[in-house]
Parts: sequence; structure tokens; C-alpha cells
Amino acid sequence: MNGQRHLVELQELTRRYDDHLALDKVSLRIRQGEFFSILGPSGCGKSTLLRLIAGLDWPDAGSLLIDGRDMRGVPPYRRPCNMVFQNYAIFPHLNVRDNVGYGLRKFGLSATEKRERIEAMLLAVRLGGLGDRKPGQLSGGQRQRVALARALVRQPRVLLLDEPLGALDKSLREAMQVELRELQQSVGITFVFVTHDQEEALSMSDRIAVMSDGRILQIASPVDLYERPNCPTVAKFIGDMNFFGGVTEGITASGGALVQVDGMGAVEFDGRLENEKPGLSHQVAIRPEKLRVTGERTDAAICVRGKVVSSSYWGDQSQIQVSIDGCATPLTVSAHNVDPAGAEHLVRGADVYLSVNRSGLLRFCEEEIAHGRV
Amino acid sequence: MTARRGRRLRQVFSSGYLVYLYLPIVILPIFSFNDSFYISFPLQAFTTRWYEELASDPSIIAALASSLQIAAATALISTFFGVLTARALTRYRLRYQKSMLAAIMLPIVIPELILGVSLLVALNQVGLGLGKWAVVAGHTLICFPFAVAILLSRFEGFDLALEEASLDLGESPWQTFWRVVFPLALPGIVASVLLTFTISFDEFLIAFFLSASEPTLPVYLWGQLRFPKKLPSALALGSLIIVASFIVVTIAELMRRRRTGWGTK
Amino acid sequence: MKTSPNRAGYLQLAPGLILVLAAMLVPLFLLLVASFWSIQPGGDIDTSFTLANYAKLTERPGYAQIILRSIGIAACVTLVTILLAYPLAYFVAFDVRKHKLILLILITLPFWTSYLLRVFAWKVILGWNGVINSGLTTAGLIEEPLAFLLYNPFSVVVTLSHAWATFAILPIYLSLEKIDRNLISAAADLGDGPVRSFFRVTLPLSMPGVMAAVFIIFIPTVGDYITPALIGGPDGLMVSNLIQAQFGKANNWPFGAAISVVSIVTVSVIALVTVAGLRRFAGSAR
Repeated sequence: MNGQRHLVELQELTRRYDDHLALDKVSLRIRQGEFFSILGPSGCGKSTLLRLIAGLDWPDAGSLLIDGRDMRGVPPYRRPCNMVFQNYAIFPHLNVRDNVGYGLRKFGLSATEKRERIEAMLLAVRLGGLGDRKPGQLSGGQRQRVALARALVRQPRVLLLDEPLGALDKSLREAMQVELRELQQSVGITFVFVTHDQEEALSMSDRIAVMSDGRILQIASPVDLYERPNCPTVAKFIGDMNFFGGVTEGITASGGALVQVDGMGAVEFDGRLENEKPGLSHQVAIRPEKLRVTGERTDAAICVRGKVVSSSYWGDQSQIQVSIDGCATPLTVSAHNVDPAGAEHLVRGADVYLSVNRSGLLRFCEEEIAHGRV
Repeated sequence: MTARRGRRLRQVFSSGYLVYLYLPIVILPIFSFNDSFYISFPLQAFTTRWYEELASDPSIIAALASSLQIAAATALISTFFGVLTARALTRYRLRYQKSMLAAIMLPIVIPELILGVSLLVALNQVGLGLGKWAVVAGHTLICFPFAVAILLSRFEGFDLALEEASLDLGESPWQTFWRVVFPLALPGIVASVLLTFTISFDEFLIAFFLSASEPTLPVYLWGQLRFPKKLPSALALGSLIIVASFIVVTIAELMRRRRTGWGTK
Repeated sequence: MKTSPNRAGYLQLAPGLILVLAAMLVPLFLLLVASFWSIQPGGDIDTSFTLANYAKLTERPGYAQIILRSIGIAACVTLVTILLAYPLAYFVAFDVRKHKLILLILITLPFWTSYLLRVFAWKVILGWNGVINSGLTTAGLIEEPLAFLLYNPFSVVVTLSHAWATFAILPIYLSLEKIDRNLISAAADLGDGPVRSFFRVTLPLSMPGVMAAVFIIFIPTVGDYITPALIGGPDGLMVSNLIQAQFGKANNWPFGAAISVVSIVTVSVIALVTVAGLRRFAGSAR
């Protein structure tokens, strides 16, 4: 494997605090120029991971390479990366211009060059003209951009962002998401972006690593992560998911599996799980939008009868809970209201038919978390 | 007793109390301008001769010099140690933090006499002499808790991420200290220097035990108190010291309370 | 980074801790050790272990008397100072709205002036020909100067209560300031008049401040030297004067060390007991 293609390489990185294991043998590889997100709930270790890359913390075991260089023993001020902190960490005693230019001191630039770089950067993040303001005079969004400019002006190989949009309100956050993505693509710097907001990660990233309890569950592109999660935890964390029980009946001639799925009867799958054999109990799942609710039976391969338990109308979409025989919990179905008639007929208690898109069915062997592969 | 009457009573009491608090401090300057060897009413003519007497006394100049040197050394050392200590206590999670803080604050509670006496014994046993440096040691010990107290509150509001940002942006820990930590802690540092200077300058008992042949100003003043003829000039000296202390302390308090949006989260 | 941050932290703490160790803990320990030594007739030190100094304290009642008097004076001073300071602290905490900061600075300023000077000023004020006496005589209010003003325990208490005023006002003010005003309103709502709600709510809740004041005032006062020396007269002498004499004219400093040890131990015990008692009071009103 060509080491240069991967800008940041983590090998089995482990970090322990007293009795708490923050990172458990985490491995991943980030490509140059990529917008890479680390997604997970609070406390999963994602910020710790970022700080390890930055050099503000160090691992108890494992190795970290940036641009092919081993970062063991290298302090943060000698690493080719820069960080945008969660609460920005703008120096209160310096104005905007001095903040942005803070890290340029050792770059050997002339005063003119330095000034020009800073001004160009301020324009790039739309802070032009605010160079003389003090941090206390800036809004949250402006401070965030100062933090961004301050890090980017050093043209690091990797930019690390620790939940930078968390403190902003919704509309500002969405605008900044677009801006950041465009900025990254125009500048071409590798971004490592930490967040707990799955929609944020899905919309901005080239690839996402999902973390939980110090471990990486899956690394994939947004589409792959959404459509092909590798375990129930990831499946539940990203978007909604319906789960049913399944029992393997047997192996088919083509190497697939025949599974008795709750509420649906026997379903044939093309692939096989690890250690699949008759009698194996496992989980089957499907996304709400891959189900269709109709008043009449359709000619889908799997179509079952059900009753509407409840429905929520959201204008462009409706979300309907349907209970079917053989399933303990009702299924969640989401539908776009294409028909102007809307989902008016889908009232509580209505008899309906549920059509299942067979290719949308997913299977998971256990609740066990698989170590993420690149 | 109605609430309002209670309030009125407390107001009267408090005014009286403030008079009681300032009475001795005001008495000294008043009688330092009094043309008489006796500190009693009725007041005689106004005069500045006691102040003039002060200026011409060489031993006073020497004692003043000693006090200034000792106070300066004490202020700088105790503040420097205070900065390190306050920073360590607020920045890191260390074990035995509470006990260490208690030990540091102990000199405030132990009588100065005991501290002075024990230092005297210790210095004698170890073979180190008395004099200015011994006084500096004793003064630093009692000023250090004050420095720590002032600087702790300053550092507690300090955002750690600021230091990390500086490191991340290419500055070494030492450079980070000078470019970020020091400027933001400066008001506290100045307040600490001024306050510890004042405490050392005014301190009598420890200096009395440890200064030997190089008396500080308070020790010198003590020596003068037994001579009635020297009493008024002692008052003059005292008044000057009081005014100087007032000015220094007021500046220090204003510095300490400064909120220019510096360093706090 | 190579060093663990915790190690860097301990390193930064080191100077301060070494200072405390070298300038206080070790000397105090040496003082304790020295209390077991004795002075030879020729003036040399005999470092063999002996309890003679402690025994000497029990020989003449005078010694115990001075120690007890010091404790008594310190207790008086603590009590008087706190009693006088409480209304003022209450005033600043509850009755003052706009000028709290100025008042607090005004209250703190006197503390920063030289203690020696303040005591000397009191000597001047309380003296036979001093300010009070001469003032009252000139105004025609008295014939003879008041003798009781100076050179006795009374004058010591007056002076020390003044000296420690700020140390009482500030802690009590701080804990009064912290009291949730809603609690007092609730007490009033439940039928307590202002006096009752004070004793049942405000006073117990302000106990942490009072306890802090007790600690800060009592222990150092027992060991105060300047005030009894300048103002106490022969009747107002305290244990510190006794100790100082041993290091000065009497030249028996192991004995002085012993007196110091006994004083500090006695005083600490008393202070801890008092604080424990007050803490019980603070908790009982709930």
C-alpha cells in the first residue's frame, strides 16, 4: 500500500484515563484531500482521537503517522496539522488580525507578506474589514470564522475541526456547513471533522467513521454508511431503522440463504452471513423509506397486510406506524406525499398493505461490533 | 422592631463602626503636623518640622532602603512562586490538591511570632546567619499564601484551550507562556506584586526577630517609640507609610478587579 | 510531548511547596525538637532530650496564668470582634444596594496599613495624656484622666478588636451574601417575624462565615506580640511577650520553644472544638 496516498494513519491507537478506556485499538487511514468526519455520540472518544492527532494528548499504545512520519514524541507545535477548537479559543487580548496571524511568527515571512496573507485569509472567510475588532466585539459566527482563518492561514496538511458548529444556531449552522464544504474543496486541504450530528456528517463528508465507546464501528462513504451499515448500532445511529427477527431455514443452491422473517414469511437472500447455518437467529432490518403503504395489494414480491397504528403528517412527508402480524412492534414507514390527496386515507385503524423492497432488507449476525476496516 | 427601624439602627451602627475603624489611621497624620512633643489635645500650631527631621536622619534612610529591598525581593519571589503554584493547581488534576493548598495557606493562621521564632531557631541550627535574606525568607513565607489566593482566582477563569491553541499554532510551551498566559494573567500578577510588597514593607514581628543589625523601617520605628522626643517624627513617618500603603493598595485592588474581557471564559 | 502533564504540574508546584517546607514545616519541627533541649549555665546548648522545659511550665502558676490569660483575651477579642462586625456585614449584605464595592474597599483598606502603626495609634489615643483623655478634659467632660483606658487587658481587647475587624467582616459578609433571599422570604411567608427568621434562617446559614472568622482571628491573636507589648502593661502581658523574653533577655530559648509548642497545641484544640460546636449549631436549625 502506497504510504503517501494516506495522509493520516492511525494504527491500533489506545488511550486510557485512570479506569476509563477512551480509545480501544483504533485504526483508520485518511486520504489526502478528503473531507473525513468522525461521528459518534458524546463520550465515544472522537474528540480524544482528534487531540491525539493534534498532539495535545498522546496514546498509551499504537502508532500515528502523518504524511508518512511517525508522530511519536513530536509536540503539537511541530506537527503539520492545525485545529479549530470547539469554543474557538480566540485570544481575547489580541484583535482579529493578530489572532489570525498568531501562528505565522516562525514562517520567515516579511511584514508585507504576512499582512497580505492575513488579509487574503480574512477575505476568504468573509471577515474582510474586521481586522481591527477585538474578539469581545464579534458574534459567535464571526469568532468561529476567526478560528478557521487562524488555522488555515498556516496552510496545514491536515485541518482538524472539533465540533466547530455546535454553538451556532440552526440556520447559521446549515449555512456554515455549506461554506466549509466549499472551502475545503477549493483549498484542497484534508479536513478531519468531528461531530455528533449525523446529518451534518452525511451532508459534508467524503467518508465517515462512526465511533462508539472508544471503538470504530464502520468507515464508509455517506451512501454506504446509510444503505449498508455493518451492525445494528450504526444502523440505528444513522437515520431510522426497522428491525425484525429472522431465523435461517437453509442455504440456497446459489449460495444465498432462505430466512424466515417475522411478519413476512420466507425470504430468499443472495448473500450469506458469517457462520450461517439453519436455525441461526439474527436481525433483519429495513429503512422506513424502503417500505410502501397502500390501500390495495401490490405486486411486490413481499406484500403483507397491516393496520395503521398512528401517522404524523409533515407536509412533504408522512410518517406512518403500521403493525403487521408476526411482528411485535409496529413498523415505521416514511412516505413522500406525491399524491395531492396526501395520506388522508391512512388514519388510525385503517387496513393497509405493506410492500417491502426486498433489496432494501439488511441482515446483521449479532449485536457484536465489528472493527472497522478501511 | 420593624424592618425599617432595624435598618436605620444598622446604618447608624455601621457609620459609627467605620469611624472606629479609621480613627487610629486618621489620628496619626493629624498629630504629625502638631507643633508639640505631646500627642494630646488641645492642638498647637501647625508645623512640618517633624517631616523635616525625618529627611535628615541617616538611619531612617538606611532602614527605608532595607525595607524597600526586602519588600521588592519578597514581592517578586512570592509572586513568581504564586504564579507557578496557581497555574499548576488550576491547570492539572493533581492528587492531594486540597492538602497542598491547606499547607500553603497555613502561614496565615499560625501566629507570626511562632513563625519568626521557629525560623530563628532553624537558621541558627543550620548555621545560616540572620539579616536581610533571612527576613526575605520569612516574609516570602507569609506573603506566598496571599499571592496564591489572588492568582488562583485569576487563573481559575482561564480557558485552557487558549494555551492549547497556541501550542497547536506553532509556539513552544515557554513561548506560549509569554505570549498568552502572562499577558492575560498580568492584572493579577501586578495586584499580587503590589499587595505582597505592602505586606512585607509593613511587617514588623518577623523582621524584628530576623533582621539583626539591618533593621527594616518598622523595626526602626519600634526602636524610636521609647523616646518621647522622637514620638512626633515617628508619627510623621507613620503617616507617610500609611498614605503610601493606601495608594499602592488601591491601585492593586483596582487591578485585581479589572474586567476588560481578558482571559475569562 | 514527552513529559506527562501531571509531572509538569508537580514540577510547577515544587518551588511553593519547598518554600513551605523549608521556611515553615522544618523550622516548626526544629522548634519542637528544641523544646526538648536545655541551656547550660555557661550559655551553651545541651541537646540531650529532657522534659525539664515542660515541667518548668507547671512549676510556677505565673506561666499557666499567662497562657490562660492569652487564651481568655483571644476568646474575648474573637467574640467582641465578631459581635461588632456582624451588624456591619449584615448591613453591607442586605441593606446596601448601590455602593457595595466602595464600602467593601473602604472596609478593607485599613487592614493594609501597618499593624504596628495602628497599635501605636491606639496607644496614643488611649494614653493618660492621650487623645481621648485630653479631648474629654479640654471639653470639660472629665476632671481626671481615665486610668482604665491603657495598660490592661481591656485596652488589649479594644485594640485587637480593631485590628481584626476586617478579618471578621469579610468572611461573614461573604456567607451572608450567598444566602438565597428566597429562604428568608419563605420564612416570613411561614409566619416568622424579622427577628425570628434571622435566628432561624439567616444566622445558621451565615455560620460558615462566622466559623471562618473564628479560625482566622482566634489562633493568631493568642500569639500576638505587638499589642500586649505596647498597650498591655504588666497586667496585659500575653504569652508572646513571655516567649520573646526567652529569646531575648532571659536567654532560655528551649524554654521559649516549649512555651510555643504548648500554646499552639492548646489553641488549635480549642479552635477545632469551637468550630465543631458551631457547625453543630449551623446544622441544627434545619
